[in-house]
Amino acid sequence: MLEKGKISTLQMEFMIIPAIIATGVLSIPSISGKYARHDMWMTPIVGSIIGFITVYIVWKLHQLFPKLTPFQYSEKILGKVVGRIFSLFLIFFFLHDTGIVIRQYSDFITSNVMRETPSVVFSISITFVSALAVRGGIEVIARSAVICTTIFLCVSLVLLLLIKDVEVSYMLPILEDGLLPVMKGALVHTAWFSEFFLLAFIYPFINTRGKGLKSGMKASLYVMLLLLYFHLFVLTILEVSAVNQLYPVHSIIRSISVFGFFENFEIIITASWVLGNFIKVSVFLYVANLGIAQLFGLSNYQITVFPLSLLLVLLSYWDIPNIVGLVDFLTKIQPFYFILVQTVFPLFLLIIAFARRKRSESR
Amino acid sequence: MKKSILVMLCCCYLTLTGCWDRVEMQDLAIITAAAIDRLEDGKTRISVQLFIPRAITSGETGEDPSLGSTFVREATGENLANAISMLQMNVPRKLFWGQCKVFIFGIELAKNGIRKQIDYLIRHPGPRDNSFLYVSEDEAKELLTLVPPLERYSGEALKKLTQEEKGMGSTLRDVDKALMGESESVSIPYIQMLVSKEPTRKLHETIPVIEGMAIFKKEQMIGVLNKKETRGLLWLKDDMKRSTISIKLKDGDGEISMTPTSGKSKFSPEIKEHRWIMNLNITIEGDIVQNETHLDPMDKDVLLKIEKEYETALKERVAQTIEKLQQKFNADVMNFGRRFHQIYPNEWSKVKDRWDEKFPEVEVKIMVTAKVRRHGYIGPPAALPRDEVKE
Repeated sequence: MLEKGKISTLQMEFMIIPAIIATGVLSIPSISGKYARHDMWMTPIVGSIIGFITVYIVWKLHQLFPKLTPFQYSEKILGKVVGRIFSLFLIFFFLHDTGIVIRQYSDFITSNVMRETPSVVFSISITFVSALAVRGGIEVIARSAVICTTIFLCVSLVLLLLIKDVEVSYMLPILEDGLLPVMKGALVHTAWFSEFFLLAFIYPFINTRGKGLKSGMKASLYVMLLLLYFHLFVLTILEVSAVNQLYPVHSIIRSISVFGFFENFEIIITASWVLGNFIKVSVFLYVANLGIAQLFGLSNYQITVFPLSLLLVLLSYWDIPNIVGLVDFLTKIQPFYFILVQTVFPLFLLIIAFARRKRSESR
Repeated sequence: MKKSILVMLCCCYLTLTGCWDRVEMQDLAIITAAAIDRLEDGKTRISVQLFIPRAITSGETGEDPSLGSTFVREATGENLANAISMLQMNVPRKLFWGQCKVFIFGIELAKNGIRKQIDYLIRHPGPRDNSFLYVSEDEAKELLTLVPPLERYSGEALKKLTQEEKGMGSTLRDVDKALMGESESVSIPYIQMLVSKEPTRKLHETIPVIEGMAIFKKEQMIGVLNKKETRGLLWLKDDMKRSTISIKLKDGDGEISMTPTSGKSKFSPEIKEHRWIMNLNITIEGDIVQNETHLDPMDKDVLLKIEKEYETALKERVAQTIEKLQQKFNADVMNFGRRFHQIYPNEWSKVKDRWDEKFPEVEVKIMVTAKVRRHGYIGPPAALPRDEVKE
């Protein structure tokens, strides 16, 4: 076995929450607001359904193959050739996905905080730090996640300082155009929630068996609540003008002013988002890396980390010309693409696995 | 192994410094207020008030205080972005917008439309969303050159005036939201130079003060509410702390004045048989601060009468403001449109495109509840023989 580390379910939750939300908090509210407008606060609730479904599918697969990752059990389910092709596809998918994450992160930093620094500095630095964490194995990622996620979540509390500016009536009228706009807005969320598929790669390394489902569901619920929290503040403060903002949460934090004295909180929150993105990139890079090692039967997975990281930096610039292209991708392609790969494919795997088991039992 | 860790740590430090964006304090020109004017040939002029850090640290060591701690630079360009880039060429340090909380638009610019300028200010990462906007009665640039006797610079004086009365100010975000929203109208404080009559002070040693509200429809300024009407608007906006109201009783021979201490206004829209009605409930509590009459407000009946009178007085003033906004300006700065939209989404979608025609037809029903809470230190009128007090 390549990975000898073991983590607890709590550590898993700490890993998966920023792995979903770190980039989500940047751009989701503006996109979901574009469709759902006054009802944008409902979109995370609707979107989270995909999260719960994905967790359930992944857990069922895990129960069938308790010690294996999807790279390994896909071979058992689909047969050697097809399974390997599927694994290769998954690896490419995660590399592409990580590239987008790194791009979102570096775009955010260069357009909001450090405008004169070339974005490649941020892509390289975050990939490098994540690569170091990945080389250390899953335990290192899990332990740093505990620290980083705690800071990430605590800093999110500064939004509460905005409570005096909240105008609840902006949430009215509820469901003006029916449920369809909410569904459309929720579609953006589903891309992020489908990333709970990552749990499939973490489950085999949990030290307490049997608690995975509950903790995965809990993580999904937390992510939903966090997104709801951010959405509520964005909606009740910015109203419809949230749609214009590229990073609405960052914009509202910029305007925090307590007694005209405590100001400029955006730097603190940006720093905490960097930590969150570090965990996100680490988890994704770890999964892609583990996949390569397992697919090609390498004796350890550390050797491929740095070459892959280099590839990731390049991938983050590949195919995405600018922020317009990025938002367009996030809105129109990503939901379908991500759900297909991370929710529908695992579902097929599960069905086929059950069918095979039934057949072998009936014989 | 140890060596490689050391090398890695060094590499980390290299990436952590943010070299490209390093800014030293002495490389920054801190803008405290900015004024945007439209010149006669259609060009845009930006004037900024720049802070001189030296002036604050050295204190009163012989420098002429009337020079102040700021100076003004200006530049002209085809549009705001252009003008600002020209401005940067006239300032040896990098312009820093983070502290600029005051933007003043010249009246010419306001009448021509402010959308293009707002777009720059919102899009540019420097200016803050919660900075205040103003419209000046004359050229906006003039106001920047004023040296306030009390505050460090005129921008600060203006900011403090606005913060005292919260409903008064309009931030960049408020304006963006309002012009984007249902009503497409907004009010921005209208300011002018306070003429100081002190002979010992120079003419420019004064501050800008708020004279009323400039009313914007779409992006253009269409008129001004005077001071009295502005008070009416403030009552609508839940902010009535500073405005004393005076009333005259029928059998009194003078006025009684009250300063509101707390107040609330509630809007409840209603659509009844195709009639659009806005029910306005204002509750107000206040202290009596002056009593010119011979009446004793300690008396129950008199107090009731006073409260009644306040209610009608307040109603009248609010009604005047609303009347002007509805009939003369046809500008929905109280956000009636949004409130109707929130409660009656279906009806709203029918009139959405012709809200301009509908808004003046909205019936406004004002209900005021006034309560006198305190009388100050004394009850009956002061300096009046006891037997002349009417009860």
